[in-house]
Amino acid sequence: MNCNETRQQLSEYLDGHLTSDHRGAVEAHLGQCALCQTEVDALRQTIQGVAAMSPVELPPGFTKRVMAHVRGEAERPGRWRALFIPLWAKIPIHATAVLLVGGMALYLYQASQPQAPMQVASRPPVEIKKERFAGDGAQLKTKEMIAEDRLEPMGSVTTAETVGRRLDESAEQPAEQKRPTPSLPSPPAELHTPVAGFKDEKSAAVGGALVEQEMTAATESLATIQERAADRTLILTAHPSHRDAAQLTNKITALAEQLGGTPEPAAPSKNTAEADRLRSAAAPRPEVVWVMVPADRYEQFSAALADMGTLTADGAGIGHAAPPAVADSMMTQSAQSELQPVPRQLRIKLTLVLPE
Amino acid sequence: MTHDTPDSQLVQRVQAGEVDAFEPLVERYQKPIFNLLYRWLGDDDDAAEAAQEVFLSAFRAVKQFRGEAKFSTWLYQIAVNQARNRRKGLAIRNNRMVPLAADDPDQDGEPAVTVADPAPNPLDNAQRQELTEQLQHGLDRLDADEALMILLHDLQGMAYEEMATVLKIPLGTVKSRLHRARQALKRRVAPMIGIERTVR
Repeated sequence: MNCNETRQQLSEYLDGHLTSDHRGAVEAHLGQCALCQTEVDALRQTIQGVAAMSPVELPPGFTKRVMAHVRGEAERPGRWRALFIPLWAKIPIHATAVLLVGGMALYLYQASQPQAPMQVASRPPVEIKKERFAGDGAQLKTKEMIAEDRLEPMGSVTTAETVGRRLDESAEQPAEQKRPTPSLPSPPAELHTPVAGFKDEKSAAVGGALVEQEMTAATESLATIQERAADRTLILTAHPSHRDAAQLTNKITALAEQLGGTPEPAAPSKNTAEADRLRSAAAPRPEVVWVMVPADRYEQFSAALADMGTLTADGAGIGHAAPPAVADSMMTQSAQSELQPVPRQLRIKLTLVLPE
Repeated sequence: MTHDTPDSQLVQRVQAGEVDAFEPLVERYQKPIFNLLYRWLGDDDDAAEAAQEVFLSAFRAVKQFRGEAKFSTWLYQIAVNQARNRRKGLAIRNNRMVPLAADDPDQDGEPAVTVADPAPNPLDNAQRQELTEQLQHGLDRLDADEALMILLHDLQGMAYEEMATVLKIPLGTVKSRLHRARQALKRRVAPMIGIERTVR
């Protein structure tokens, strides 16, 4: 056995764990090798020194403190168990908590979302308005009409058209309530005014001040869009000489044509006949005429109208008396793009108030 | 009576809910456990807290103890784990406080940890304290696992087999690690305690 082999076994040799054969071999080497003998002596001293290290005493009262904690611990299991709810009860509780938190999060998310005008003016608010109007105006809306509106497939018309029509309907109905003969179930003339497209025709009906008072914030936003379609909203209180609405209307449209404009293109709606029938039974009331007049001829047109009666601008309509060119410039590009084609033609809504 | 009762019986009584039966176990093992922790952690307060936590942990888990190993072995496993966790968060002081250092100017009164005085001769006692201090200094500078090997075997007198169980390492590893640790400590303390360094 050489020095390395001997030194590898010195630890076990000192601990008495070597077999007698190995022990004999180690001792034989140590007897011959002074270096290894010195090494084993040093190692033995180190081990004995550790074993003789002064023992440290425990802090006073250690046992009492430990047992106090132990006894406290022993009394606690009941409380610990209370924290552990059985699985059969835990799952429903957790599921309910998750649903509540999720529902609350969804509610907060929706409440925090700014609502786009078109979304706001979608079907539900308008229907509510209709029902309200139907209730207020008694016969203006039958249940069947409301139901029909509700069942109307959205895919059959564009969203804008649908919204526009609904807005027109809801906008005109309150005006009906102001009439001196509210018992008559006649829908407003505008409701059945022939239209070629809602953007050009129907949207103008939103000009009434009553609408703005009555409409909710959602419908107001759409009304704003609709109002842009009527460049001018005028009220003509006809002189006593103009008692016939048809004649006066013809005169106005002829005037517009003379000035290079056109009567508003129109097509009868499905309810026109019914509206005419109802209108004939109604008491005299304002008629509405839509004409297109070149912007540069607007002054002439309004001057000519002034000869037929008292002409006033309806503040609730487009609400401005600026020159046409200025009016055009006031419109945003987006609004202009919505109102195409209206290059230099002003769309004028003229409400005729006939003498009784 | 309880002082002669075997560990296994006391453990069974504790498992049956007799809390007081745990006290003899604490009294039986608190000193070696505290000494091990003190020598390994190097601070009496840390050692006292760790020892208390060892016994509390043992009490909490005593129902899971099935007697496959000795209670003392199981308790040492808890102590080693507890001390390892503490060491991770504890910066071992370079200049650790050795109790009753005769020339320690801070030790002007009763020390926090007193040392038993088995030596009848005051001179022997002083020499012993000095040796203890030098060895502790050497242990502090060893790798933690190496120091633990020496403390378990040479200080606590634990057998190789029990060390293998406590440390969960093979018996051969115990032997080789212990040998390496002793050699390392010898190299560190030899110049200080007058051992001639003859082998490199």
